Amino acid sequence: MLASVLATVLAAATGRGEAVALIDPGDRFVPMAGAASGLDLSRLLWVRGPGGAPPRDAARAILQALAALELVIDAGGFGVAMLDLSHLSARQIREVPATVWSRLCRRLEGGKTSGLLLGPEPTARSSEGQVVMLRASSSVGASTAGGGRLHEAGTRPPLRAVWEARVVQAHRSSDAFVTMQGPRADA
Amino acid sequence: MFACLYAPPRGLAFRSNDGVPRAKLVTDELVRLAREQSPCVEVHGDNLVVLDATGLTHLVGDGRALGATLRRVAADRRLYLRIAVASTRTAALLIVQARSGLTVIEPGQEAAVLASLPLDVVRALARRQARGVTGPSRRRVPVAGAGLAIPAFALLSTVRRWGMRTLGDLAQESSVTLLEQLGAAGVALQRFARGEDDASLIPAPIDQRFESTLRLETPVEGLEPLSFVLSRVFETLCARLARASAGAGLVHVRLKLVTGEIHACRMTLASPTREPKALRTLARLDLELRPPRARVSEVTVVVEQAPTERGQISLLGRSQPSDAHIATLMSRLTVLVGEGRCGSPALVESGDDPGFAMRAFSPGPHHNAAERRTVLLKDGA
Repeated sequence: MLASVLATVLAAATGRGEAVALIDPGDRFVPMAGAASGLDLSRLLWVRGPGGAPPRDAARAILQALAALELVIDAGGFGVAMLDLSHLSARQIREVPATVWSRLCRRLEGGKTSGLLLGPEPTARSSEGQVVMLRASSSVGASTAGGGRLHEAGTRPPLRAVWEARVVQAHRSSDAFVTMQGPRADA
Repeated sequence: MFACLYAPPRGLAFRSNDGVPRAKLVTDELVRLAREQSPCVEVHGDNLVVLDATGLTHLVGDGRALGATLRRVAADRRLYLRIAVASTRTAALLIVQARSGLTVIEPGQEAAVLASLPLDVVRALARRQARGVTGPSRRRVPVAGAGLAIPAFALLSTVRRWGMRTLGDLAQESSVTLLEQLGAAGVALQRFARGEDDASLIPAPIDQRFESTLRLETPVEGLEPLSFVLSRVFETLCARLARASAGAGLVHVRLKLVTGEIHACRMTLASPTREPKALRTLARLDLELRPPRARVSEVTVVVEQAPTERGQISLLGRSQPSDAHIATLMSRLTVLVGEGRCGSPALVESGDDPGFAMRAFSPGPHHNAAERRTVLLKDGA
């Protein structure tokens, strides 16, 4: 499910003429699927991690991905800088010191780059940031894995997914529910 | 006052070291020699340059003094030259086609001096101008002063059939007759034969060398102190590049080690830049990958300039990462994640199995739907 969100966000940004960056330590992004979603691949900077790393290397992969994200933010000029940690477990992500997330938030403040972190649970808590929880509510032929997982390359995507997005943390209290309907995979 | 320098196809200038009888090109030497007297130098062909010393009499003296100076300097450099000094550029150019040594024409005497020259000097000059200048890799480059090339060159055979043999014959012919028989081109040819200028001089661009060397009293070790030294060198060079409205296209960094070895690295930039921070970062990243084996006692940076890209920044469009920042970012990411692990994916059709390949990230300008349609139409798609 997150693959659709990822591609949709990036495609919308490139459609506005922005350059976007995807830090992908799990190496799970599928360019063909992105292009099918309307993503302009020429405006995408894709930083691929080693992929398929054993669990003991997860910490190193996260630190490497965070360093890459900081480089992208420092370079400036990107509309969206996305870090995809959705392939990692919440326990692995919690090992990252909280100061790292604070530093990232400060780097994003005042800039024109939007930072987007995909993960299994709220991680980089910031008073200025927003956390949106996505959950598949119903689907036809869709995976209903809680928390969302990217579609692995070669697996069959859902025919039509309906999911629910809920803003669970914001600098202004909000408890909005948004229902989104995914595109038909065979369309 | 104009002076023309010409190295004829004989003498020392045409002896090559490999024994092959090939014309030796000394155009660059002639330009340097001429620039010592005046900044306004125009190249008219291989081994043929003109300098404009108008208004510089208090510096270079009168025509005779200038001619003598040029001849002495050329002799010091072992150059056998024909030198002509005249109040018009055309007269000086025509004289050196026929007369060796130094010729100084007093102002107002151009037509009289040129009168005895055969018409062939016009043909010889026109041929040299049309041939252009031999540039790097033996490529011919059109001369900037091509406006001086005679438009009525084809008329020479006509006036020769009329019995004219010298420039004087042509100069004395009635302008009305030439206009009636040959049109405006005939009059232009006659003015040329009289040594009159039709176009203004177009100075050749100054080819600057961007090089800076810093000798260190105490040899430095480690990347951090070396980075400080490099930033000082790059700041100087970038300031010079900015004054020349140029950017760095290729950067050579040469580090002289205390062992006497030279540690060299070469950086090809994705786009010309003159930002010292970006250049220093690129140099540092290169040195991180291949650090010098000993302490560094001297730092030399040579920058090969490239014209900077001029683009209109859109007030309404989205901000984009600058080319210089992209080059630095990609270098840093490559060091971090490895070669081929960052860039833009591009779809590749290989049979029935679609795949992708990693390309260099270069977002370029964004076209909206209407603009994209226009671009496609222009491309013929």
